[in-house]
Amino acid sequence: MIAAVMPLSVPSSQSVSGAVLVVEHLDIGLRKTNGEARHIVIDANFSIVPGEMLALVGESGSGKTMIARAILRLLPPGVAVQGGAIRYGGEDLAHLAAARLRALRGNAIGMVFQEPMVSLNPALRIGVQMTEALRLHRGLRYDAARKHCLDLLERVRIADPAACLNAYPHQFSGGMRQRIMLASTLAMQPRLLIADEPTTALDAIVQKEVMDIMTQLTREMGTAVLLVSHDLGMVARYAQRVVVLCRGETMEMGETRRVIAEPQHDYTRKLLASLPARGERKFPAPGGTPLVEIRGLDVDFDKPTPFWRKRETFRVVRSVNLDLHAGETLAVVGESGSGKTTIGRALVRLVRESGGSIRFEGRDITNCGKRDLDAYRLKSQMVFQDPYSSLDPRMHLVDIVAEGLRHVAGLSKPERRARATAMLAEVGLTGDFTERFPHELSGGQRQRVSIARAIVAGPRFLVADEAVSALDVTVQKQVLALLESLQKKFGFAYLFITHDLGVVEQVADRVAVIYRGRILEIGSRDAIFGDAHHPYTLRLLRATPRIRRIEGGVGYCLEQHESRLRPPPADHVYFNHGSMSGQALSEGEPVMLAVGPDHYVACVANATETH
Amino acid sequence: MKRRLFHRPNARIGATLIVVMLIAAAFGVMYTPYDPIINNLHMRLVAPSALHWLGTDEWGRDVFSRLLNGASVSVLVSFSTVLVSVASGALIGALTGYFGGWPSRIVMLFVDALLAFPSLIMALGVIAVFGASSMGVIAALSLTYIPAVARVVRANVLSLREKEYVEASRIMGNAELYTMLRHALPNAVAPIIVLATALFGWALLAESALSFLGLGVPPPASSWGGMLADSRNYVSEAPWLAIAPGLAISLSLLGVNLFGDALRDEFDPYMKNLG
Repeated sequence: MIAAVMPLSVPSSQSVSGAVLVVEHLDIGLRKTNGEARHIVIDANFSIVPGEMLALVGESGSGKTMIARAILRLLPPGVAVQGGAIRYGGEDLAHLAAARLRALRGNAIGMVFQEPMVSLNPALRIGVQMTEALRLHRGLRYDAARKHCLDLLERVRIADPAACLNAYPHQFSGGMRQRIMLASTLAMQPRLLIADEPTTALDAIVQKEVMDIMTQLTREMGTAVLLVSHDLGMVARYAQRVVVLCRGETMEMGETRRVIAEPQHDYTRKLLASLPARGERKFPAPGGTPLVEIRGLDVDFDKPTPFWRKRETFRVVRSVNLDLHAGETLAVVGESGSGKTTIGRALVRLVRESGGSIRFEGRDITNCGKRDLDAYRLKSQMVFQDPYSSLDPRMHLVDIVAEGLRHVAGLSKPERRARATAMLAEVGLTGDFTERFPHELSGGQRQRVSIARAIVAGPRFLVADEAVSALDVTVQKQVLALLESLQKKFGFAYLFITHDLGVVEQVADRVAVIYRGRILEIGSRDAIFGDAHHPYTLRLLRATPRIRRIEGGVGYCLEQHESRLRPPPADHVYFNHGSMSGQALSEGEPVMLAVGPDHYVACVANATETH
Repeated sequence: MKRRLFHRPNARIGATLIVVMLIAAAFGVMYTPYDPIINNLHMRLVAPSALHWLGTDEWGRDVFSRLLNGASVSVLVSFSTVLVSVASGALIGALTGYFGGWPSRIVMLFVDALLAFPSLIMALGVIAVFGASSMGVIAALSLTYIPAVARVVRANVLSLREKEYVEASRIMGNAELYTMLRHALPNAVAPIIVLATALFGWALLAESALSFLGLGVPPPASSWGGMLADSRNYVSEAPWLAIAPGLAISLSLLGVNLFGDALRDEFDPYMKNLG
């Protein structure tokens, strides 16, 4: 099939003949109560053959999820298929009787959703939920269904399938639940699997595990997969063919490798160009006194205990040492629960440490008076992740930004407003934005306001906690560019907290890799990405699919991470507190050993060689 | 938002009934056709006529005048009750929700204990202490409604406290109390307003009930509940005595409830999307 430059309107006859699903001229629209109509999807055409994975890719509002939902007729109220056909085995799913559709749903067509936390019923044992569909659609007895489920749980690599069937969903992590979801969906051996952002809520390493299992099983069973995703990197790694959507219209369709290697449409090019890419090294190797020195930082959180019990705690950050130099960007990367956010929150004094010290310009701010703390507050600021909850919905934008100047001495109210207006212009919100409310803005614009509020008082450093993670790639690119130009202009340092290695590669001068509260490796960006030492860092790098521009060309390709595992420094082994699964846990405290200029890795002395 | 609110039929009907009640209350203070208190024994139990629109009661007092006067008493008592209970309940709820810790646990323990008390019985107890007067009724009803307000506000502030704009305010170096009053409490206003309309209805009903039991505003001052109570002995000869205050109570309650429902629909994003 000549997929890359094929005309979009009519699927080729070859692909239709053996296809499991054929979508033809599909139009989906929203009809409002006042009679207004709006197109959500316009003339979508694609088909999937058995064993193939086809991806719908697009930014929010592209209609990708609506297409997936239309196939199972799970559209939200007011939204309906207005034209075209969804052919599945000689039937048109768009116009099928409800009873017949129910027979197909969950039987011949399976679905995996984004949120593994809510797609399993928390009140029922896994076994009951998994066998439900088998008993309903296949009329199997519980014993037979159970045996079938055990087999599948084993195939999705659940360690103890029998115990799993007797457990409740809350006893499993997000990745395990998504695997269980996958097992129970595939237990029906569906001919078509619809996976709507199946791994978006998961960490990179877990995402890779789930996707690998999904690809392998569906290929073995010959199941056709419709993958819905915003993540071009993941799509490039797993999907054979891709449909690029923008505002409901198909921009480009074809073999994934071809589409990214030779993008035909401007939108595809824009999307690919928006992906984070390694920038120039901006910052010389740091020297001199750091702006912020974190030494031996411990943070404990309270366990929820009844008030008559003694207070119990667990440690989320363990003896962390970090230096942040003036004007540099230090990225802290790790999966959820690694404590990376807590370090940032301790730095802006939102949480109290239980041990260690934080010094700012040589002065200890963990143990200082109110006056010093107030002065420090003006020098340190934070930009949050969620653009929807980081701005007070009842305040005008100018007041939101002006509030950042409340504690700057000697400013009158008009002066504060004037400065706030100037700062809004600085972040690209000129004109009549001052008197607007947050709900009138897009996600990217809100994040700009959030940045303006943070920098209006002239801080020395900013903690950016997943500051661009909630944004679409094209918007993300703009906000990253803004952060960079502001840094150049005002010279502040960033502590960039994120799970997204692509963004890190683009913005960071130095990178710290953290796992369960401990820093495992820290070094310059080039050292971490090109010469990673700790096995966990390497695993993290390999799990993240990245798309790289082909040198000298216009196109892109999927990058395989090449660096190999390096031997640990002499007489030492890499420190392991769970990050290297299947290996002995290290005892005692790790030491950070230099393995290159300004490049350190957590090790412990090799116990086996001492005798 | 206001324009859309009045697109709802229940908002319009509710608002109309409330306005009628407020006008009646205003008249009750400023002007009534007859004196609502002075007896006129020549005119006992006269049926409704052009002279006495709603007839007279067993002491020969004009029922319409007493109804207007009663409206002012009822509205005053209900309004003050809502004001006192919402103000103190919101403060308790916001402080305990925002600051947490063991002091808030102890405060909420008392609040929950109050909540467990049947409100009318507690009101009886409070009035036994304060004596039957409008102040006594206001104190009694406020105390019974504070826990409900405190609970609702606390629940909202608990979740608002975790919002990132609240954290942003703390990072700026704003005092905790300032942050609570500037960022947390104002964003909990919508449910407070909805609850306040409901409380107004409950207070209206409870005031009538207390007056009916003889614990409300002491005679000879008129109140709807008191009028209803006095009418019991004359239901067969003078049914208008029961019908007039009965209808007044029902229609006011209906108005308040309809308006409260419309407000709730307006503030609740889930309801709004379905509409």
